[in-house]
Order: sequence, then structure tokens, then C-alpha cells
Amino acid sequence: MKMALLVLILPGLLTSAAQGNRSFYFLMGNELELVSRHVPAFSFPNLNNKVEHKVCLLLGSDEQPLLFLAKISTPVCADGECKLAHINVYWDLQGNYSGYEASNELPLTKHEHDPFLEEDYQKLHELLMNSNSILGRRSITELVDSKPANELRLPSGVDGVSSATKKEIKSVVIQGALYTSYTIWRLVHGEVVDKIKSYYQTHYASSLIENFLYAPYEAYQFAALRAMDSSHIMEHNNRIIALFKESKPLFRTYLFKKLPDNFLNNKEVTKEVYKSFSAIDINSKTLLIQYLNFANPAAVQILSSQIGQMSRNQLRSYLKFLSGDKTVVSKMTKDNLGRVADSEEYNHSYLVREFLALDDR
Amino acid sequence: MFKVAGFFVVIQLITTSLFAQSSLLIEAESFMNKGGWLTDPQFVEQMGSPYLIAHGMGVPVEAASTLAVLESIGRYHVWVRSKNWVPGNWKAPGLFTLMVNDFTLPKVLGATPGWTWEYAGEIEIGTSEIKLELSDLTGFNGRCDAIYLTQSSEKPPQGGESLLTWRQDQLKEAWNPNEELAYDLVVVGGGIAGCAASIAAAEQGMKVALIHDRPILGGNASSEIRVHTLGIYGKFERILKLIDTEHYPNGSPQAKADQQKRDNNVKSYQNIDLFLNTRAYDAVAEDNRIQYVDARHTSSGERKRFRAPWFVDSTGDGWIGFWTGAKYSYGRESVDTYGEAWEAWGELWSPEQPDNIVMGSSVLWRTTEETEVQVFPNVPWAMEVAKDHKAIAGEWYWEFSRNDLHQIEDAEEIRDHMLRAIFGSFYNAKQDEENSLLRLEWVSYLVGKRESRRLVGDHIFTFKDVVDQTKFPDSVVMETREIDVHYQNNLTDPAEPDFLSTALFYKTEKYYIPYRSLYSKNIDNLFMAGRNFSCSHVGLGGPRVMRTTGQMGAAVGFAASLCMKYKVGPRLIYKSHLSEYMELIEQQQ
Ligand SMILES: Cc1cc2nc3c(=O)[nH]c(=O)nc-3n(C[C@H](O)[C@H](O)[C@H](O)COP(=O)(O)OP(=O)(O)OC[C@H]3O[C@@H](n4cnc5c(N)ncnc54)[C@H](O)[C@@H]3O)c2cc1C
Repeated sequence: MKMALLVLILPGLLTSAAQGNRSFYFLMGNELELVSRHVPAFSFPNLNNKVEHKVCLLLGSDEQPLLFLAKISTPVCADGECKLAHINVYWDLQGNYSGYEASNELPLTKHEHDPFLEEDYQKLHELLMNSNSILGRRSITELVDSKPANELRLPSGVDGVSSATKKEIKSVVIQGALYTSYTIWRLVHGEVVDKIKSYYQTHYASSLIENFLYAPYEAYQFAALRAMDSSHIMEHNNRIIALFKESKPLFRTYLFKKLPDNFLNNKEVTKEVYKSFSAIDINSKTLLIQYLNFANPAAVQILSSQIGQMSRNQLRSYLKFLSGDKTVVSKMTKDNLGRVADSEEYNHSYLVREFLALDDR
Repeated sequence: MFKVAGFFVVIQLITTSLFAQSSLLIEAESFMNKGGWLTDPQFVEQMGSPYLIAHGMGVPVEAASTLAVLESIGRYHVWVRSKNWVPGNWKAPGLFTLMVNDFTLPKVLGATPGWTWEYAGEIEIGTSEIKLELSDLTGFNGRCDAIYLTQSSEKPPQGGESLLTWRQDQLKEAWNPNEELAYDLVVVGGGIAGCAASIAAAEQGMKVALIHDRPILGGNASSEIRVHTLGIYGKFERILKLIDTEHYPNGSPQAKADQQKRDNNVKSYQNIDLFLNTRAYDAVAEDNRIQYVDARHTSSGERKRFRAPWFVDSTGDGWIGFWTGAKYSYGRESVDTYGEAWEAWGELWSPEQPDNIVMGSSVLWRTTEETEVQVFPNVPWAMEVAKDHKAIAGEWYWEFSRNDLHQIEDAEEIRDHMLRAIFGSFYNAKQDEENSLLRLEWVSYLVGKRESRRLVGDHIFTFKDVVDQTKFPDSVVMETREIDVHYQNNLTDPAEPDFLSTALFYKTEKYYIPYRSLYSKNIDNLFMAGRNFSCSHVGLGGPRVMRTTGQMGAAVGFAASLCMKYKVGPRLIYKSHLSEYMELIEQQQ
């Protein structure tokens, strides 16, 4: 597949709107530029007409899998009238929607065959990015109010169908293109997703961890981590620490729960991980405090300089840990506690004061 | 002995001994005239008592006052148990003063972090009958638990057990109630589940006590919290229509009409003795049978013991089960425990490793448009939470849960976090010209919970029962509403406020809940109905809505009536009387 057009790179989101003779949206990096060939992978059925859509895998020159693609022509039906919609859809290697293109010669259309405008294409892309859309849990008969538009005293004629669109649906679909929005969303997020996952799993299981752990995409990192056991984690510890620092909270929490108990035995690893305390999210902070038992004692002192970042309960757990094992309280830790106790900035300094007062007895 | 004692020796002569020092503890919630202050009994188990809260949404509330009688006149130290609920580098949000007779103590209260006795000062009192008055200064949730006047120099105990026993000594209140009442069935918690259980049992001739810690019934569906009831009626349409709500937006004042309906309907049952403003504080089991539940009036402190052969825990938080040693769970099971995976949502739905995460609690709120410009004060203490978020109303997704917070033990902090989110977000919105006419009309001060303790029954209802649409021989509850499990938005996008959530919906056909999920596995005479029924974390995702919890309540009420008929425990209804029970339920259609 040749990419004739330049794509516009926006921070964190690579996308390009209507350009030349097509509309093109893409969420990932330079994968499309690396494509050298595509191979047929599998097909999945269209629920409207039982036609099978063919999905192919796009490969790079080094035979690395890059993306999945389906060139889809699907009927979109409303009120007994059907028309074809043409769209090429990309998925990543985990079946997540990655982008689409539509040709201006065969544009997507709205009610009364009006072609999509640029903002309609943009809205379609946004809709497809939401895998949790309400469209996933509504059957086609549940999209519009059961009473016809005229009975609902809505203006008939232009956009009559969408006038009767249920309120919660209307806000997510493209105005005047209810069934197009619905049909395409269901195709993109339907059966194909599991098929992509299992295709990839079947053909690339042996290289999954290596391919995915170092990839810049969270969905891939998740898949890698899911496939890893303790020995893999120890093998890749630098990458694991890097991911711990830079990931989103959900991933970080998952990663932390996967760490083998001895991961933090090593002083340097403990330092690297605990030094990130101030930069990470609050739920992960809780986990770091909970894991003090497993960490190298260096962690205690590192955290003592970060108390100002702790919630009330986190501070309580930290102080409880200190009272359980006084030997871990170094001079510097004690000094840091003293400083926090005197602080007017920190909301919970009174707890440190209480702790130190008890300690003095 | 404090320094000035010698000086007042004359006054002390009127007490029985020369050295006796008179003191008086007044619980704020027992004030005769509460003015605009509200009684908050939500956190008794954590901080020790109901308290008064000045929930004025930024406008200072009317003063609360009471009369009290001192043993002797003279010089008194005055202590006030209070809390600066957002300590920090700003003026504390909830400040108030105390007036004794006509003298306002100069110390501004509500300024010390954590629940604590603030020393309000020393005062000469010349009359044995005194008047106390609490004056709110800020309208932002100042709180007063109790006032202690003493001639002794000793500070009252700070907290925990010692405060608890000290309080009882001072109030001359024994832990055990003097008054005992006997019923056929004691239902604790008057949410939709508890109301339905009481009605069903009463209709079958049982003498029922319904103990509820609020002045009105309905729990989350009440006009104090204002969540509308979702779900289907199952076999219990007639009963549930007596207590459910219309489908209005959450937070709507339309809840008031349904409130009236519910209260009137429940009160119309002669067999139900309703104990409103009464909070259960203990329950005792012997040989795995609950003997009694003890409860205390949330204002007067009056205690009562309730005995019965059977009990229903519909407190939402599983308190009766908790106190009597019933097995319970909290948090998320690992995905493999019950096979609850939903591949598309992975960790967000059900985690590989178990954890203590649950769905969060909410505080609903709304604004109204006035004809004149409305000023809303600066709330610097709220901005750490609200950041730059702007909003003019809240819905169900104003929700808060975090892995260092327990939905019961830290409920006050959770409620307060939501208050900061609301006041801060509204303040931000008010900076826009277009919102100048908006006024905060209503913010609940009650925290609406979704999930906490789940008591364990003979069957643990799980997501698998939904997916498989398992039909049980004892299917007494049925539902068609989607399963939804929530997660905090900031887990997937750290830039999002920490008080907003997203729901993941699993669409389902009809699914069923067996009767065996509605009684305790190890406490032989304990039923449970409502969100504390026997289920997994994901299992709760669907049936926590209130027509479904209402169905559970009704099913339990009917089962209890058969327990009475055969003088057996709940398990034997399943084992020996199932067909009669199912028939009884079938007749309710
Ligand atoms: C913001 C929000 C939105 C929601 N949206 C919906 C919705 O749209 N529709 C829907 O149906 N459900 C909704 N839910 C879920 C539903 O409201 C809850 O699951 C509800 O708690 C279930 O009812 P319940 O009877 O089990 O408990 P509750 O409604 O919590 O009732 C239990 C009652 O027991 C009282 N109590 C507790 N302890 C004691 C004690 N020791 N002594 C005496 N009384 C006690 C409590 O004050 C409470 O009122 C929502 C929940 C929230 C928080």
C-alpha cells in the first residue's frame, strides 16, 4: 500500500483531516510509512448483509507486523432504503481502532445523500476513538424514539430521522448520519477486535514480549506485561522501571502488582523506583508505601523527604511502618520528620507531631 | 487543680464536697433548637458521635441554641469538640463561635485539624441554667460534636476508646440500653431494600421494627440524596411502586413528591414500628445467632435494644453482619476467582490480582438561576481538589474512590473531598459572566455510597451468573438492566479531576439472583438485602440499583414470614420449603 499523502503530526495524536481527494485520520506514529506489503489475514461478517469483510495485515520490510487494515463497503440502511458506505479502517496489533480514510469520490453520506463535511469526518473519527460508546450497547431498534417524528411534533422532512434520535444517542453520532455512524462503529468495534487479537497471538506469540514491551503504545505494553512472568520482569528491569515512571496510573498500578517480591531487594532499583514518588499518581504512591516491607531500607529515607506529598492515610501507613521497625529510622529520616512537623504548608503535619510526641515518651 | 481554684472556694461549697468540680458535657446534636445546623450521624463509628454541621453552601446558617443546667455556678473551662475539615495555608472553611449566656467566647472554633477538643477559653458563669449558642461564621460546613464545660483543668480525652467511655460517664449513659423491645423481625436500614423487606414481612403478619438513622426513608432514593430508582419490578411491582421514584434526573427536587409517597405508605402499615433518627450501633450474636441489635437516637441519645428471632441487614454497609461476625468481602476479587473477565476492559473491569478498589461515593448537587446577580465566595481551600474544573451541576459521575480510602472508615474524608470538588468547580464556573445569576440551590451533605462491605451468603452472585443467565431453582430477583461498573477517570488520564468517573456497561438479557444470596452463610438468622447482599465486586455492578435492591428486600420479607411459620432459619426455607416460598412470591405478581 502506497501512501501518497503527507500526514500532519499533532502532539500525541497523529491525524490529518480532509486532504486532496480523501479524508484521513490516524492515531499512531509512522507505521504507515514503513509498510512494504500486506497479507490477507482473516475475514469477519457484516451483520447487515452477511458479506465477509477481508482484513489484511500490513508488514514492514523486516516482516514486522505493523497494522491491520480492512477496506470496507457496507450497506447502511434506514427506513427500508440502503446505500453503500466506503471506508478503509486501520487497527493496531491489539485490535484497537487506529484510524480511517474515506475517498472524496465515494464520500460518506448523510440523510438525503448529502456528502459528509470535514467536521463530519472529524466527528466520525472521534466517535470511533471511543470504544466505550453507547452505540455498543444499543440495538438498531433502540436508536430512535418509537413514535414517528411527526407524532413527537418534531419537524419532519430534512433530518427527520435524526430529529427522533434518542437524546443520549444524538450527542454521540454525526447529525443526519445516525445509521452510518452506528453501522461503522459496530463494524470497527465488533467481532474483528477479538479476531485481530487471536490472529496476532497465533502468529506472533513467541516474539510478543520483545515486540510489545519496548513499543511506545500502552495497549502493547499491557499485552507484553500480561504475557510476562517474574523471570521476564527481572530480565527487563530497566524497561520496567522506565515504564513505571512514565506510564498512566492504571498501567503503573498493574505493573506494580506484577512485580515479584524480590524486585525491590536491590538498593539501586529501590532508589530508582522510590525517587519517582513525587512524580507519580496518588494511587501508585499508596502502593509504594504498602510495599515498604519488600523494598530495600533505603526507601524509608527517600520517602521521608516526600512526606509533604502524602495523603492522610498514606502518612498514617508510613508512620505505622516506622513505628513497627525503629531501626529503619535514620538520622536524616528523623530530621525530615521534624521539618514536616513544623511545617505550616502540609495539611497533615499534626499527625507527624503526634507521632514524634509519642516517640519521645 | 487549676490556678484559680482557691479563689472560687465559696462557690464550691454548694457542691457536695469541697473539692468536687462540676462539669457538663452537652452533645451538639441534642441542642433543643438546631437553627440552620443539621445533624450528621454518618460517621459515628469513626469519630464517635453524631454532630451538628453548618451546611449553608457558603451562606452562614442560623444559630443553634440550647438550654442546660450546671451543677454549680462559677468559673468554667470551655472545650468544644470540632474539626478544621480542610487544614492548610488558608482561613479554615468551617468557622464558628460559641456564646454562653450572653457572652461570645472570643476564640474562633473549627480551626484545629482532625477531630479534637478546641479550648474555647475560660468563663465565669453566674447562673445554673445556661444558654449555649453556636454561631456559624462561614456557611461552609463548620462542625461541632460536643461542648464540655468543666471546672477541672484536665483536657477531655482526645479520641478512641477512652473518649467513648468518658463520654458515657459524662452523659451517665450506659452502653447497654435499659429499654428492650421484642419483634418478629428487625430490619436495620430504611433504604429501598429495607422498606420493601419491612412491607413484605408486615403484609404476611409479622411484627416488624424498621430502624433507620435518618428522619425520612429511602436511603439513596430519599429527597436528601435524590437518586432515582432504576431496574425492573420483577415479581414485586405492587410493593415497589409504594416506595420507588419516577425517572427524573438524579438530584432533582422531584424527589420530594416521591418522598412523601414513600413515607406515607410505609407509615400506613400498622405492623411496622418505624424508628426514625435511630442508628444501630451494635449487634450481638451467640452461637451464630443474633440475639439483639442496639440502637441510639441520633439527637436525644436514647438507647433501645431490639430482640427478634430474625434480622435483616439493609444498611448498605453490612453493619449488622460486621458486628456479629458474618463473613464479608470488600474490594475487587481477582479475575480468576469467579471467572469475571471482560476482555475488552481488562484491568478496569476485573483485575488480574485482587485489590481494595471499589466503586466510589457521590454527593449530588444542583444550581438555580436567579433574577439578580449571585455572589459566591472565594474558596481557596477547595481548589486543590477542583483545580480548574468548572461545573454548574453534578450527576452520578461525580464520584470518588481512591486506594488509600475506605468507603466506610474514610467516608467523612470522601464526603469532604466531594464538597471541595463541588464548591471549587462552582467557584470556577462563577468566574464566567454567563453564570453570574446562578446560585447553589442544593448540595447534599449525605454521601451516597455505591459499594462497601458485601456480606457472604450461601451463593455469591457474580458476573458469570449474568453472562450465563443462570436460572436458579430459587431465582427470586430478576433484572434486565445493563451491568455497569465504574472507574475513576484519572486512572486512565491523570489530567482528569480525581472526582469524576466513567461507567462501563455490559448489555444483558434477563438475569436472576437466587435467594441463597440473601442470607448469611455463617450467621444463622441474618438476612441481607440491598447493596450489601452476597455478591462479587463485578456481581454488584448490575443489581445495586434500587428497584433490584427493592426486589431483594421484598424477597427477604416473604422468606422471613415463612421462617416464622416454620420456626426455622433462612437456609431451611431453601432446603425444605422452597416450593411454598416460590409460590408465595409468584402470588405477588
Ligand atoms: C450518585 C449515585 C447514583 C446512583 N444512580 C442510581 C440510579 O440512577 N438508580 C438506582 O436505582 N441506583 C443508583 N445508584 C445505586 C443505589 O443508589 C445504591 O446502590 C443504593 O445504596 C442501594 O440501596 P440500599 O437500600 O441497599 O442502600 P441505601 O440506599 O444506602 O440505604 C441504606 C440506609 O441505611 C441507613 N443506615 C446505614 N447504617 C445504619 C445503621 N447503623 N442504623 C440505621 N440505619 C442505617 C443509611 O442511612 C441508608 O439510608 C446510585 C448511587 C449513587 C451514589
